[in-house]
Formats: sequence, structure tokens, C-alpha cells
Amino acid sequence: MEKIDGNRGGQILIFVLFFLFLVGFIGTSLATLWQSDARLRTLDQDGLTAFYAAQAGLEHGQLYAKNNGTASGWFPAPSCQYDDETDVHVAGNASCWYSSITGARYRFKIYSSTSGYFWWLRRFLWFWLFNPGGSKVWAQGQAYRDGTVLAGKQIENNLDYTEGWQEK
Amino acid sequence: MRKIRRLLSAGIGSEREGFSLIEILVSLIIFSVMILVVGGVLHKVLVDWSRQRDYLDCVQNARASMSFIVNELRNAKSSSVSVENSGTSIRFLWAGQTSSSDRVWYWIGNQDDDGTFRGDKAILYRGTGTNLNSAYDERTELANFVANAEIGTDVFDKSGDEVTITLMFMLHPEQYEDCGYDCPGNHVLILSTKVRTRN
Repeated sequence: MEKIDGNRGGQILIFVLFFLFLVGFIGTSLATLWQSDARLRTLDQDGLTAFYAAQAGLEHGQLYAKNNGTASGWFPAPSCQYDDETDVHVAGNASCWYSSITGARYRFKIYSSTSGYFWWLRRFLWFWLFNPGGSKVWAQGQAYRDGTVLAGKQIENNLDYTEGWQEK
Repeated sequence: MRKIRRLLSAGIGSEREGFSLIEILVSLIIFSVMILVVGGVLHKVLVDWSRQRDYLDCVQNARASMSFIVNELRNAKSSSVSVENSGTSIRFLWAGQTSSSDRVWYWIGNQDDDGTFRGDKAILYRGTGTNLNSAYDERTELANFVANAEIGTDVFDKSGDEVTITLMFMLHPEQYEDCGYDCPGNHVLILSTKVRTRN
């Protein structure tokens, strides 16, 4: 083995320092990537909470339709209701979230899949033509914490009228 | 080997060849720092990885068990659904069944381990039988990490044809008493939904 002179020693030192930098950079990058991945998985967790909250809204909406819907397709407004969307018959709005558990809430609305008519005209037609089929229940669920929405899910299901309103 | 020995020994107190003591010390220090940095990063990644793996288990547990209960409860006979034991258990019959021995039970335990009736309080069970005792004898574990008992939240609630299911999961439910919902690395996952019995 040859003697390592001053120049060679300097080169080795530079190489080691470069190697150290490289390893540190790669390691830090990996750790950062892993943390991002971990956050994504947490989001998935919040999405799951939101999904089940939305499902609760769907069930609540279906029950509401079953118990309150008339054969003509008229759904009486519950205590918490708004009608600023043409199709909406029954709804919860921003101040009408249903919540029974920490960190999750839901709301629902029932609407007709038929569009292009004014709501009163559609109800009028339904009343005379007796064609209440084609309504839907829509529900939205949210996972939230300290007033911040972490994840939201919307799901809907068809409603059909056969001796009462039920899911299709 | 002989060459290395000669190189090292010749370097100390010799002007002829090999590394000096300073060079060896500097390289050792650099190497140690390198090992510390790499080791630290690896350790952090491994700890995070292990925690996330456990969390994934927990979330998958939650997803699977909730889905299972919801699907089964949807097919239950409405009149047979009954919430028992202060919201920690529920029983019902499927549509078409009439015998009480066919009752399906879901419940969480109230003990520190699985060997004693009603089972571990961190586990959600399923069984069939006339009463909870007979269901316990045929129990299957549906999910672990269940924290409802520690937190004091009912799992089941019934109002008319609507059943509310609330499942709370923590990797270490026993830590809830010390630091609530925000234990480091032990966040709570809450799943709550409603099921309308169809029959």
C-alpha cells in the first residue's frame, strides 16, 4: 500500500464529506417522504369517518322519506329546512348539521332527478300525473376538528315509490 | 493484513508512510458523525413506519368491522332489534328467523382480558345464542383496538327503526385516561353511522 500524501488525504476528506452530505440528504428526503405518506393515510382515516357520517345521513334521509313522503312526491319540510335550490324538497343547511358524535356530522336532502322544471310545476305535474318515481336522497358527511373540515364525502341513493317511499 | 499493520504503525511517529494520528482521529470523528446521522434518520423512519403500520391495522379493523355490522344489521327484523347492557351490546334476528337461539349478538367486553365473561373491553365480539352467555361461548373477535369502554361511549343506540352505531378506536385505549383524545401517536378514530332496519 502506498503512502497517502497530503493531496490524497485532502481528496479523501472531501470525498467523505461529500458522502456524508449525500447520505444525510437521501435520509432526510426519505424521512420527509414518509411523513407525507403518513399524512395521506391520516386523511384516508378522516375520509372513512366522513363516509360513515354521510351514510348516516343517507339512512336518516331514507327514513324521513319513508315516514313523511306523500304519494304525490311531496316531502314536508322538517324544522330545519331551506329551499334555495330548485330541486330541493327537504334539506339541512350549514346551520342544520346533524351531529351526535365528536368530530363528525351529516346533512341530507331529498330531490327529484327530473330537472328543467320549476319545483312548483314539477309538484303540480306529479300531483296530476301521479308519477312520484325518480326522487333521490343525497347526503353529505364531514369529519371536522376545531371548526376545520378535515374530509367530506357525498353519497346518494335512488328512492322509489311502491306502497311508500323506499330505496330503489 | 501485513501491509495494513505496517501502514498504521508506520504512520504514528514516523515520517515515512501511513496515516498520522490526527488523520485517524478526524476520520473516526467523521465516521461517527455519519453513523449517528444515518442511524438517527433510520431510527425515526423505522419508528414512524411501525406506528403507521399499527395505525393501518387499526383503520382496517375499523373499516371491516363497521362494514360487517352495518351489512348484517340492515337485514335484521326490525321488531327483534334490541340494545342491551347500557348500549354495549345489541341483539337481533334475521328476517325469517323466529327462534331465540338464532339471535345474533354484537358486544364489547368489560374485562381486561378475553378469558372471562364478557371478554376484553378492547374487543368487539360477535356470537349467536339465546343470551349473551351462550353467544360468548361461540364468540368470534370482530375488531380490536376498541376504545368505547375506556372513553365511556355507547356503541349502540336505537330510536324507532334507526340504529346508531358508534365505534371508537385507539392503538392504546388504556392511555385515554392519561391524555384524552390527543395522546402522542395514539389518536382516536371515531366511526359513527346509522342503519335503518329494512325488514
